[in-house]
Amino acid sequence: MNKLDGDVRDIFFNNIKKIFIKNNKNFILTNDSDVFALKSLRNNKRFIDAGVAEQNLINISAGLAKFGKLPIVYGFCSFLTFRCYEQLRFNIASHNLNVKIIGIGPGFSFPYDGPTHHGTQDIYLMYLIPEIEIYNISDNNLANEVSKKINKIKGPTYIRIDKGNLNYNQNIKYNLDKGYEIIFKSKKQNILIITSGFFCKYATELASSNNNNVSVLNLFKFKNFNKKGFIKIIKQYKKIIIYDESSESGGILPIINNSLLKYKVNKKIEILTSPDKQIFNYYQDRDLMISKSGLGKRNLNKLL
Amino acid sequence: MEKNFKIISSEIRLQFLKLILDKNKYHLGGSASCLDLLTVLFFGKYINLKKKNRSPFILSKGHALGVFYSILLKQRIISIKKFNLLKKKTLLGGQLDTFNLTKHVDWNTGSLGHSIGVCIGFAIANPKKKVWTIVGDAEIDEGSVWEALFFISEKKIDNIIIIIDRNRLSASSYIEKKEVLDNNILNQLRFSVTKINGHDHRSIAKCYDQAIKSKKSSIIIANTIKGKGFGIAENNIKYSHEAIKNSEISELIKYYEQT
Repeated sequence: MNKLDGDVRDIFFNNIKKIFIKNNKNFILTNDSDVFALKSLRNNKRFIDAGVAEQNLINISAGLAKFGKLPIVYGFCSFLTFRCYEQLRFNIASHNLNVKIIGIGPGFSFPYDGPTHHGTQDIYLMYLIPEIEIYNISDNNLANEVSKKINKIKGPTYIRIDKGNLNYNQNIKYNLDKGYEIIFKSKKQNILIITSGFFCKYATELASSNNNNVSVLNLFKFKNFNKKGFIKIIKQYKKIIIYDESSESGGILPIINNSLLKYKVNKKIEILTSPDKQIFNYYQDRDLMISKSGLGKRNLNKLL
Repeated sequence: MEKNFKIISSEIRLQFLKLILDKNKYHLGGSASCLDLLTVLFFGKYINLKKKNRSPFILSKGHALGVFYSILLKQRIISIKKFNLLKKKTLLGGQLDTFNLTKHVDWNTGSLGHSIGVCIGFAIANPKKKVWTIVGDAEIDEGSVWEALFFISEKKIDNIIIIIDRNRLSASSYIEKKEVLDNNILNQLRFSVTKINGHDHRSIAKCYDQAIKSKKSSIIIANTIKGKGFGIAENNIKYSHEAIKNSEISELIKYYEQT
């Protein structure tokens, strides 16, 4: 067991807790959401539970940030984005305020609760707000890097954090400025899977059993990433697969397409993402939901 | 003091009319209804816009910005030359933003129902200051207003002063009936609630004094008249956001110049 073992939320929020205790400018705000690591802070004056009232939650954080405070807001990703979109766009983003929005429960991480709880469109929804940067946390290592530097990340930022023990690539050196990393490199530069968040794990597992033919690129930052470097890598591979738990229009696909268009890259790309629809199927198991939705490793393998 | 406010508010009306005549597009009715409230706020001892460490303020009904600009001009915080230059550069328009009058404008406006929630953040960050906002009576239909009011009451946030400009006209309809105001629903929350005549300077000042002393956050329901002091526009839904004819504005300017 190494120091990054454990639930990815614990890795992330334990660092947040340490920073919060040290820096009295930090406030933590939530919409009646609970994470284990922050339970002990609930009686602190700088911990604000606004209740099930996301619009007010975001407005309070905006007001705090205007006067130099450093609010960290956490809650369910679908509610922290869709429910208070105008407040995010206008009160946080238009003022370019230093507010960190931490969305928990991305993708199908709560598969039993239906489309209200599926975080499959929130990425592009937030991408549409010009001033907001987005980080999608794929693993414990990246969670550790981003959370340790939370106060150094300037401006309005949306950070998606998954759940479970995602400690499968602790040797990767993530560079937050660069915004992407090859997390599995094959000897041959035949196939590149571009993915993000939870699906990095699936893609890495598949690539590592594929006879050194498949590399995996984790795109974890969506606005100011090194686009030239990203395109350069894409050009090196014969075949590109975009693999995303988010929907076709709501996730990384249109973001990557924007870069491909800008740099005039004409390359055939295979796509495996969630469909553009709200899914009213209820599964108790995320892996099962993903495979039943045609997004599992078996489906990815067919594209190789 | 009352006499002074009367003179000053006439001067602000005059300045406001001159801005309109000079092709500034402002909502006449909703600006006039809160003009006296703003006059007392900024010419009384309540908020000194020239001071760096002053109380924060949000004009939630941003369409009334023409009155706020008239006050800045009257207080010589901004010259008409600078005002016109900013306007020419398209940096001033029909809503407030914090980017060009940074020291004097505390929040961007344009979308309704946000200010009370933002004021909570202001109030927590500035526990020793009173935080002021003026909201419209139509605006309080927004759910975010109620999320914020319940929060202030439940969490005992005690340094916010909310002024409701109760002019009984929204952009498109008469809103004579307003359950939450008529049935004293606000009194059931942890606020100091007062109803006043929003054009009576003495009542306004007295009410502001009480709000400053209050150990709870305050809600001031100011009964006002949309278009107050602008003749044909008074209580006239047509001029909620429509301009009156230049000839009529000129007449009004003559009237205020004489008085």
